[in-house]
Amino acid sequence: MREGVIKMEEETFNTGSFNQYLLQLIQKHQKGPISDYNKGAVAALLEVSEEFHRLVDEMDSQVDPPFVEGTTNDPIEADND
Amino acid sequence: MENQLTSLMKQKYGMTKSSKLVFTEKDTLYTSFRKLADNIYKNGEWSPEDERAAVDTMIRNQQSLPVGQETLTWRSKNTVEPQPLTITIQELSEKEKNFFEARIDSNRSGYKAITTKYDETSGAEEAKENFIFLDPTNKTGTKHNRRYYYNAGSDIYWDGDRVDTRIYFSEGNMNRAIGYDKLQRDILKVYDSRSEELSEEGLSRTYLERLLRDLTNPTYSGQKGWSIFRKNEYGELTDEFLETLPRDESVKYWQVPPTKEQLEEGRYDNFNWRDISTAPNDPNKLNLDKSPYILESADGLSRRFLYPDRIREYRVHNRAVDFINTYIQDTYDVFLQREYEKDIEKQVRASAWQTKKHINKETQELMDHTSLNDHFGFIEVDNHVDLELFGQFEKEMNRISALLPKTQSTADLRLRKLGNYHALGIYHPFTQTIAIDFRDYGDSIGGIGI
Repeated sequence: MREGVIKMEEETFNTGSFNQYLLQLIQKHQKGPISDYNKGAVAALLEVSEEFHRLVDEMDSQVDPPFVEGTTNDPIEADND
Repeated sequence: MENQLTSLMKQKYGMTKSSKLVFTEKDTLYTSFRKLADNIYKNGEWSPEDERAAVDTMIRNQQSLPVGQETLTWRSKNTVEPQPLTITIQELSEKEKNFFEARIDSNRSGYKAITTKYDETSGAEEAKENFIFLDPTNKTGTKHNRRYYYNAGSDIYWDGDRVDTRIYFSEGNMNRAIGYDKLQRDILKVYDSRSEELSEEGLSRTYLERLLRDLTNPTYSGQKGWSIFRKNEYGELTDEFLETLPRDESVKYWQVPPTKEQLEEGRYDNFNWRDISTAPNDPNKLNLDKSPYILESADGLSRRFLYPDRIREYRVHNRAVDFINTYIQDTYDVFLQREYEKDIEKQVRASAWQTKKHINKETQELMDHTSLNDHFGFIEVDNHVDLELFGQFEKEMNRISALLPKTQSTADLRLRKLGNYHALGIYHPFTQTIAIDFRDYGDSIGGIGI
């Protein structure tokens, strides 16, 4: 890298890693004796998880479907059997 | 001798070579599966049999039928017993080729798949035709394996007559069709070899088939399908944890437990019950298979109901995701190891300017005593050089050397195979080595032919 040039690293949120992290936390709080604290922690993590998935689904629904060029003379898409 | 991993990849997927495959942390189950499929396709030479197998799998994916199983059945409304079903893959007839000629690119491999349902009681049978076209340029994109039809109302003629039935067809990317087919078959083969243990863990073949089908569906590419292929948080709740939670004892979860006779008759499955805490003497008991667990938030302000049957479903899903993930990771490890071994092989193989380790006794003798040593610092001859023909080469070289201008330093001459260098001859200045491919390539300039 040239001196004086600051490279801005593009940081993107990794949904897969975050989901994995939440799952690990949920597993962790079920190990050993199940105290009220652990029950509360699992309840909170389930709530975070649900909210997170709701947000991801919302974001997905805003993305336009990719454009695909037609291949035949106006065929009609069918439902699967 | 063929590398062991290469044979394994050949045996499992029919791959004849290998190339670099890179998974990143951003890859999802879907993208890893797709990358693996593409890599398999890229590294094989595929025959029409492979295409037919891929078409067969595409049809089964469309019709939710089990992949890789010889015997197929379907459920008829008229009979309790499952009825036979067959899939036949055929080449297109001339008439069919003509029909699709103006509609589908001619470079695509076309097949006709006939699904026939039999009703053994009535003797009736029903056959449905689907046409599938595989695109060798892999530009079908997200239309891969989607079904389309030509409507009866459209201005289409079939053999001179107006079309009065729907003609169903699909297109598929050749790489995905073949790659997915190899993967789906092998994953299910692994499942079949461990089916007893895996069914005990709650993972059915049917569920695994469904998830694999979704993995081949381009609708679920990218983030869109993420929620389908991720592990569910509720499936991670353990029995030990759930048993510490209170149950919802609403009346709708009360039931009179079955009698011993009813249980023996098989009218009830997994019916678990306990006394209702407020009415322990009531003949009704709490159905533990239905009554949800109650999980309160730490501040006690909200309650979450966890339904046993949903938790069971999520556990099966998570088990299936884990199973496919482990398979993909194991396969990735094999691919990485193969690439690593290729690198090592490259490092230990003698370069064209280095003398090979194992030289036959006769060849070594010839190298030591050839008259070409008068013109070169060192002569190396490959074990595959025809020693009789070498005499002619020696004679020619002596004649040419006498005519060529003399240099201050003397080069080495090596007669070697240079396939890796894509050259008929090379000069390595550092070692002053001239290496020549001694083989006959059969064209006007190619090779010496000894």
